[in-house]
Amino acid sequence: MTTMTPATTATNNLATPLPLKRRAGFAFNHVFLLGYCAVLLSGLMIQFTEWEHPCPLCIVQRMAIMLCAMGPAYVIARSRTGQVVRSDVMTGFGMALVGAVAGLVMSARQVLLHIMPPDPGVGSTLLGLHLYTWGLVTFVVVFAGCGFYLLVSDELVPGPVRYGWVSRMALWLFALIILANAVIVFFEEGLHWFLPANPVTYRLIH
Amino acid sequence: METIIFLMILGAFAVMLRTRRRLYVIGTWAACLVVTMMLFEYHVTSSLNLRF
Repeated sequence: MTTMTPATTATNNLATPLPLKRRAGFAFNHVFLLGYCAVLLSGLMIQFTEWEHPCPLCIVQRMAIMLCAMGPAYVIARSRTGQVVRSDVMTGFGMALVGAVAGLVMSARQVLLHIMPPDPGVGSTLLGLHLYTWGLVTFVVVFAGCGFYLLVSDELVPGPVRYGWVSRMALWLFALIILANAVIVFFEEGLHWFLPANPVTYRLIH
Repeated sequence: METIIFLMILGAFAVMLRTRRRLYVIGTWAACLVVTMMLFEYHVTSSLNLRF
C-alpha cells in the first residue's frame, strides 16, 4: 500500500478534469482581468483616435483600475504553482475590492465635478456616457462580481489548476498595458513632476 | 510623478510574478495604492460646489 503526498495528490487531481464550478471560478478571474485590459485599451484607443489628452483624474483612475486588476492577476499568477487555494483567492479579491473603493472615490469625484447642468462634461463619450462615468460603472460591477463570487466561494475556489496559454497571455497583456501607460504619460508629462490640470499637448515633444 | 507611479505598479506586478511571499506582494501593492491616493489628493485642488 502506498501513501499519497500532497504533491502527488495535486498531480493526480490535474489529470482529472476540473469540476465545472471550479473551472468557472478560475475563468472568472480571467474574465475580470481581460475585461479591465479591454477597458484600459479602449481608453488608449479613444486617446489616440480622438486625439484627447487624458487629465490627471483620468490617469489616477487608470492607476486604480490597474490596482484593482492586480487582484485577479494575483490569483492567475498563483496558478503557476498548480494550485490556487482559498487564501490566494481571498488575497486577490481583497486587493480588487480595496482598489475598487479607491477607483470609486476618484471617478465619483469627477462625475460630481460635472454633474450640475449645463456642464457638458469633459472628453468624448461612449454609448452616451463619459469615460469617467464608465469608470464608476466598472468599479460598481467589480463590487457586485466579487460579492457574488465570495457568496459561493466554497464551490468556486479553483484548487488544482493548469497555468495555460490563456493565463500567460492575460498576464503579459496586462504588463504591456501598464508599460504602455507609463510611456504615454511620460510623453504627456515631459520632464515635469506632475501633469497639468488640463493637458493640451505631449510636453516631452512640444 | 505619474510616470514613476505607473512604473511602481509595473514593479509591484513583477514582484507578484517573481515571489511566493504574500507579504511582499501585499506590501508593494499597498505602497502603490498609497502613492496613487496621494497623487489623487494632490490633484484635487478645490471642494465640490454642491449642496445636497
